[in-house]
Amino acid sequence: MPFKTEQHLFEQAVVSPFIKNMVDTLKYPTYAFAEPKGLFGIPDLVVANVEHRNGQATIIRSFAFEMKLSNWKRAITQAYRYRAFANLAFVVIDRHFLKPALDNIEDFVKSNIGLISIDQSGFIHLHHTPEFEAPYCYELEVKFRKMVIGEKVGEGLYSPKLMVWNSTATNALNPQ
Amino acid sequence: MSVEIFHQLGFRSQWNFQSLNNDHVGDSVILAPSHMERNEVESLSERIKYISLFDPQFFLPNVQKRKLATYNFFPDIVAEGFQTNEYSEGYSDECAIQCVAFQKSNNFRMVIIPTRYVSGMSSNYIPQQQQLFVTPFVNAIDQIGKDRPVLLQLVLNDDMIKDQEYAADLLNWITGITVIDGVYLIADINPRPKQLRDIDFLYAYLRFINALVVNNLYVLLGYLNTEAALLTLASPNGVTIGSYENLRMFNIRNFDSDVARTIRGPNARLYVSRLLQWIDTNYLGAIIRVLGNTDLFDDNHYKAVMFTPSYQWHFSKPELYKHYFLVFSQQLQYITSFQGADRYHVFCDLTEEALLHYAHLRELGVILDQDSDGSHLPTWLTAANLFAAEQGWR
Repeated sequence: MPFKTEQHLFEQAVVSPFIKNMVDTLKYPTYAFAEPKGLFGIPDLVVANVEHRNGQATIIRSFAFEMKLSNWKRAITQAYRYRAFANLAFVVIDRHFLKPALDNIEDFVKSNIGLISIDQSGFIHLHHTPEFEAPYCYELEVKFRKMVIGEKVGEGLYSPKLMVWNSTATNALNPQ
Repeated sequence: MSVEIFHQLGFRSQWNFQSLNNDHVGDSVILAPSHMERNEVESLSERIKYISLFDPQFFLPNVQKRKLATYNFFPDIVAEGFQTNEYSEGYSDECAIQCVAFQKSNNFRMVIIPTRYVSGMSSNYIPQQQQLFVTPFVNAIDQIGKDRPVLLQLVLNDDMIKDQEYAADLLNWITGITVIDGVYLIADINPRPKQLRDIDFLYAYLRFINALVVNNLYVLLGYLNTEAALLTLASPNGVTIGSYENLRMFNIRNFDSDVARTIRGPNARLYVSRLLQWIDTNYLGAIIRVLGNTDLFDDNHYKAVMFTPSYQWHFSKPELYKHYFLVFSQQLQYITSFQGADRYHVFCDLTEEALLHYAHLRELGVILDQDSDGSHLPTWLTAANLFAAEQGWR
């Protein structure tokens, strides 16, 4: 059975241990942000691993996810935008409509975009793993950094909308 | 004959004047009273006025915008004396006399007969335009004396142009107005994409323009974006270049009252002549990363400024638009240095070359969104091919 709504797919994806394990790191706190505005497009989810050292905060690794029921072409276009500010961008698509995306997996490889499928039971498969890469737009990278770790880096003034990922995964849905 | 390039003025018109004076881009300007008060227009140098056109912008004659109110011939101002809210025969004569006198006394290059905006496909369009604008202005010109060319301004929507019968009626009417020397034509497109993609409209517009040209009318096309390159195939005499998007695509809302609207600033875009497209500057890093030291981006002194590491891209930066004026005017001059079938082939070459650049970028993994990619180009080529076949060029 396909997902009925994108929201449903999103909820299933964010609570999945697979994605949590992929974005989490034992070493650094992980921050997640649902539908952040003001970047390049509106990703469904962005995640950043942040190192705090000597009063400084640094983004070690960042992820952006575009979740779609079926339209892989639109999804990859959007995910490519997110590479402007994130190290890794993924399309998460309903497994029911996976085939057209898989038939064009070469496009994901060329553009260095990850492809993940998910079904209603929460089963997830990673079809293409992108390589870690620096974001391609410096201005947006800076904007993203400000969004995640605040302008006054090191003073603990994190964006109030951010949630630490490992408190509960669904916090990403309800940022405070 | 090459095409004349007019700066379509509006907000930040100083950029256009700087481009005209410093970079020698364009032949003329179209002054916009909705953005320039009367004393500002009157105080322009004689040289500028002599090459300029003054667009009275009567599009919404009963709506008063602050700067338009400084012109005593604007219908809503004249209407005060007539105690009526409806622009009508009652005072259209008065508006016409004062408007023509203003254009002549300022020694503008031509006299423009204004128009009002009409949505849909009104069956009353021609009689109404004739009654409220053409007749009063022709009478005023007769009265004051005709000593310079007269252009009839028309705002036609895409449905009017696409409908063959409606378009034929318009052409019959326009070509029958003996006092006019040409037409200042503005297309009102709905909905308004960043780039025009409607093949039927583009083909019909090419035919419409060409029909006016073959009737020996001077044709000036207003509010154009980069589709100007395509439209030159119909051999118009003048095309416009504009800075912000609202000067490259006519939108009647911009002439509505000065009620504050929430307008979200668009992303900055850079015109790339080899792609025939405005590229969202957020993609520039991705393109440079895959192409390295590339000559894809047009080189000039504005590029030198914009491509410094400290440059903050923003849609309100003048360099983006002055760069566009310079690059696109050169591109237009190149295309229009050819005529007829040769111009068509040059246009096809440029378009196909742009498509190859897009294919190469895609092959290298750069995925541009619909507002930055080349998806408009096949529709332009198709419209060009249809028009060329009709002209016997292919």
